[in-house]
Amino acid sequence: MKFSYQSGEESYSIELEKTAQDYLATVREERYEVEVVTLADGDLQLKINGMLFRIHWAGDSGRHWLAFEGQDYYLEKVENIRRASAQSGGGGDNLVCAPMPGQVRDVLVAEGEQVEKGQNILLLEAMKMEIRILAPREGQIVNLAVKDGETVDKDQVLAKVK
Amino acid sequence: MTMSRPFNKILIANRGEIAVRVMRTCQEMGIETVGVYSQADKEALHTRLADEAVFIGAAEPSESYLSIEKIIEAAKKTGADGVHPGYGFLSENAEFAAAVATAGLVFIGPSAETIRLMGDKAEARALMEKAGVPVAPGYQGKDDEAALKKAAKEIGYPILVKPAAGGGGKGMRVVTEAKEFGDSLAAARREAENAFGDQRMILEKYLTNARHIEFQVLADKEGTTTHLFERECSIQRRHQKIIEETPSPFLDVGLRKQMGDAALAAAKTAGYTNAGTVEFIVDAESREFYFLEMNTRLQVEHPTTELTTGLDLVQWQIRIAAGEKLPFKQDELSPRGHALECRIYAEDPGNGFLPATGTLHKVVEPGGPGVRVDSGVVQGMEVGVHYDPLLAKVIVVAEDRARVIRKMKRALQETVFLGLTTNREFLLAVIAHPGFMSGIVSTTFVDHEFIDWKPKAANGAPVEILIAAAIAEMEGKASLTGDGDHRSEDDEFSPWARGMGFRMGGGG
Repeated sequence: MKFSYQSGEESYSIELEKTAQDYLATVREERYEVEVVTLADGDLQLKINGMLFRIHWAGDSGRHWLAFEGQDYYLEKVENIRRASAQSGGGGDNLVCAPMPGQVRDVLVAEGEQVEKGQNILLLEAMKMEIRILAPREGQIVNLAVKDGETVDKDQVLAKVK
Repeated sequence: MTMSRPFNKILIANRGEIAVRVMRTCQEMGIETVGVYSQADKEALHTRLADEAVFIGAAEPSESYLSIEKIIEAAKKTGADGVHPGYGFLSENAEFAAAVATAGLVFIGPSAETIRLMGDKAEARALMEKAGVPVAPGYQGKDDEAALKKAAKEIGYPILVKPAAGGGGKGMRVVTEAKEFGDSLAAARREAENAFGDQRMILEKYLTNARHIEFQVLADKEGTTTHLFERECSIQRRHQKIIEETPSPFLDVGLRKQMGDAALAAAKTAGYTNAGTVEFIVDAESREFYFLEMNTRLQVEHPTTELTTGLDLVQWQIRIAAGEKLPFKQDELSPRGHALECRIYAEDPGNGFLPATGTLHKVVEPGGPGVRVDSGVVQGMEVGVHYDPLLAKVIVVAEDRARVIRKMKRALQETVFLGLTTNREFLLAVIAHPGFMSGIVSTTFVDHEFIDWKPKAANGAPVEILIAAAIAEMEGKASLTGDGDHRSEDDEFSPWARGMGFRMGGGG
């Protein structure tokens, strides 16, 4: 079975094949023998090519959170991302979205204004902090959708940069 | 009023980890607990733990945890005789303390007047100056922009613009040159207005190589004032503490004595009773120290002091409020070992430390000797945007500083919070940093040394992680959370079919 995950900006494919010993995994053309030692309550102990790894796992409809040796990872099934992207009309880094719910404090640019990458477009107040919302790329501000004092939801589109 | 009987029932006017922590001590003392909860906290840990829980309103703090009216009403309705304010929210609100007293209840903390006096940073500075406690060069006069700018010039840049009504790092701005002053002042005022409902500002010389060292004080109502030594809180991110320890690796016996005496003088000048903390800023080069402010409540980092002194500070708060005298004198106190605390926040250090929200699908708290966890969350809980994103504190104690750092590393690696982003990996990176390990840090250490820090995940997902995710999907179908029944009936090869936690394969 094939699985595709996105972690940050990168996507990964992995193929899992059942074997007598448990599984054979293929990632980027490298093969790994995987033995499932324990699998309980999101506590995984896997022997991968003979080396034992203990990994904590929790998941929720195509989203995976994993902890391993003091590091935390988040993977999302690629199908989930494609679907979400299609729904929001192409997405990508032209959209300026609210990183969390809050209130617009100060819109610093106007419709049609030319901005640089990283330029401060507006101030969002959330959890008693002032958060600067920056332009994801240089271009022209279009579809400026909010004004001072307006409440916004997480991921709500605030403006587009053309 | 001197009370010799202990309280029958205490209302804890707070939420999250501190409410849980206070309730636990009340339970040990045989005191009934009343919890208050907002709409967002219906299933919260503190709500479940309380003997009685009273619903006080919508999630927005002004409708619930900041509503003096609703909290007093809850106390009256349940017949509580004491109110513990925790930290944050109304804990340093003089009006609240006064309202509790007016309602015929005992406020577990200092008097309303002391809270008011120390809460006004301008007045507190002035009082300390009069008492001969060293204060940082600064200004606490008229705060129109022109006056502030003039004072800033006199004191000399860099300057710290601080809310007179504030605390906790909110509304503070460091200004390095005069031309930035106007904008920084405006931003600071906005944040202060929001956090404290008060825009007044004071100024302080910003020491570029400074350490934040505070002293815990404990004073009874009969005039005995003691300090329980210091805590070093220099590991801060944008003025918010993230790691604290005691003893301070910077203090020697002489400086500790000087600062301890100054802390006692500050507390006595303020007529302080109950538990409080005197915060100092120490110039790392000159070793001079200056009074910063006094916090008239329990601090977030109080567990470090508890672990090295063996005292339960909440218990002492309650006993002092009930009229008990402190049985120990300053020279009888002697701390032992080294304690360290890390604050686990729901935030994304790889993305500007933006607060994170989500469901805590998996929580594993560390254990073992010398490990304490003060947590307000449980597995399955929703973490939202309404409140401070502190999930839990991991506090450890060991014989010495090197050992306690190793223990914290072990404890943090054992700690699991899955379902949203936390700063766990970031905390591990900080305690592994040679600067931290050497104890040679200042309050700008984190901001400077970790400016480009990214979690390992930023380099991509390692193979082990991809394999684990795929196997979890393959085996678990829906989700593998702790409910126990994951048998896959059809597949004889599935580990699920062989039962829970059964070790297979052997060999190797």
